[in-house]
Amino acid sequence: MRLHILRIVIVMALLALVSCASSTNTKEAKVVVDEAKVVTRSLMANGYAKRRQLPELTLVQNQFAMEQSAKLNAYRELAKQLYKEPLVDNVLVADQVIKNELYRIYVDLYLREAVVIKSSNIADLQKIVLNLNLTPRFYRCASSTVKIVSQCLREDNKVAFTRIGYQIADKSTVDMSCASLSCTPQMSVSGFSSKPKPMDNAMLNAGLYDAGWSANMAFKSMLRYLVLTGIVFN
Amino acid sequence: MTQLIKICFFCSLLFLISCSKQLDSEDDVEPVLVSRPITAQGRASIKHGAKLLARKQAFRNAIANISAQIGVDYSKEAILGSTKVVDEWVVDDIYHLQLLAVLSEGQVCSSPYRKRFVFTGFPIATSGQISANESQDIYSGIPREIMNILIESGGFIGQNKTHTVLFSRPDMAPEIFDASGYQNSPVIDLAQEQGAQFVVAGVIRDLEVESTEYVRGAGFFSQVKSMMRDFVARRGISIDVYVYDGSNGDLLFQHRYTDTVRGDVWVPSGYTVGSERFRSTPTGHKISKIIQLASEDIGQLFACYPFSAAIKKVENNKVYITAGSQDKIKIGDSLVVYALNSHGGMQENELIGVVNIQSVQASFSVGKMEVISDVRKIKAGDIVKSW
Repeated sequence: MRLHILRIVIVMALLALVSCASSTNTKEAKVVVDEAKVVTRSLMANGYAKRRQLPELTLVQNQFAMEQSAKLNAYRELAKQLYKEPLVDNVLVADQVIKNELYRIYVDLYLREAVVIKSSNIADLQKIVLNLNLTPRFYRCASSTVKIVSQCLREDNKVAFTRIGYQIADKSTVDMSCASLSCTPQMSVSGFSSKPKPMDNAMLNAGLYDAGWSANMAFKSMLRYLVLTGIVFN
Repeated sequence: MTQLIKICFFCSLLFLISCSKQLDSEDDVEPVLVSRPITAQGRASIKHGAKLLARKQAFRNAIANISAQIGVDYSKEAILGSTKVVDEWVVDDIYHLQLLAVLSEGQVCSSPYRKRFVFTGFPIATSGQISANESQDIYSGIPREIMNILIESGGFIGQNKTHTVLFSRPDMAPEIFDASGYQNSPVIDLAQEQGAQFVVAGVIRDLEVESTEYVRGAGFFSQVKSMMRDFVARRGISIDVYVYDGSNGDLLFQHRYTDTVRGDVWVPSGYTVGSERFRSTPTGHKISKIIQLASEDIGQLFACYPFSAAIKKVENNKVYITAGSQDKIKIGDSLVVYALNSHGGMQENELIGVVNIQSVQASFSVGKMEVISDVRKIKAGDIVKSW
């Protein structure tokens, strides 16, 4: 009998342990994206720059400067697309970038992996087309915790790049009605159109101004009478 | 056998606890806010090498672009919950800035600086509604407690001037009548004197106890009812709260808070607003609720307003500002300077540059102009703003 009880206790304890373990694992499971399910995507962006002939530069240097300028514009366009990329649970790359600076650095450095796939001249414009492949690893790193994104940077040997040229971008909140010089258009007025409660309103309309008060008083008087008679006569 | 049942019961309890813990942890997960990311570019030309000023202007330009981009899609309560400058560059003396923002609703602005408020007394519009046998602390206690709650929130600094009243005719509030007619607005004077950004005033519009002398109808029952009102009365509460801009005297906030009290409606003399005893009286309880509501409304609205402080003194290159570490000013902060030009009682703000904070004291800080403005020379009385 005792052995039987002992067995039941052990089984139950193990079951409890398993249930607890599953509860702690759920959070982790939510964070880590199933790489197999994520489809690799490619983002493409165009960048343009106007032909300029700066006298202090040679012809080749001018051409190079124009290409550089078009390429930078294409990178900025690509960044816009990348910020809108969905990750998991309705979280976008932008949300992560806003949340912590490490995500901003990771996304920024990932962006630099984009390659020029087309370079052409249209009238006096230089056009550059950039392509960026989004790998399952990107989704996994960008949607994970700060610790994991830091690990991703280490694994990609990008830590050295994070130490130069990065200034912390502070988060700020802005009310859009304060976009002008001050928030004066936002003048706040309230509390002047409040109406009486529906019950009071109905009573007032029916000419029963004091009905509530009378009912309340009558009920209280009755209650006190009953309590008093109960105490005195029992 | 009973032992077995006991063990099973114990184990099922264990299961229940483990499951309930799991449910709790589900509840702890932050609700997913529907957010919308927006990227926008802003640009501003760099004049006379004033890069910091151009950066501020480019930021404002980016916000204006976001506003135009979203159009009428956003509700009045929507704010750019979080914004980050993700890229900035200069081409041909034009400062470019790329802003990443997440539009969210129902979020409260978070301000990097503490804003200063001066609190004045709340007079009663109809004298006699608070009898001599009642607490006389209500007039100054209501603004004092609103101030305390706002200070406690961490975003504001309050100055207690509740012994002064802005309104010579409380019944005409929020209009402020100046007896002499040639003085500055008392709001501007008070704000300048205290170095405050906003002035809070208010009026107790109604605190009337239901009349016992007035007999509605005729007969014995009416008489009894009237007599009973001496013991079980009704009292209306109506408090108006106003907030004025200290730099120009504009009215920015006008809220009315109303409530009704039944029962023992009197507040005994000697009870101070905010005390436990005061809150335990029916009227005190309702007034405390109004104080809480007003503080929340003021806190939410003014957290979004840009921070502003006055320039006290200009000496050589040094600019002395009436805001310091108490206002959360830090070394290296840059504040936009606006020249205040008064024309026949009307004020006009003109942007003249950016001041860079170089040293910070508790209540004041010293900065240096980025470049000397060609619009107008900076002088005492001008104002600085966060952006």
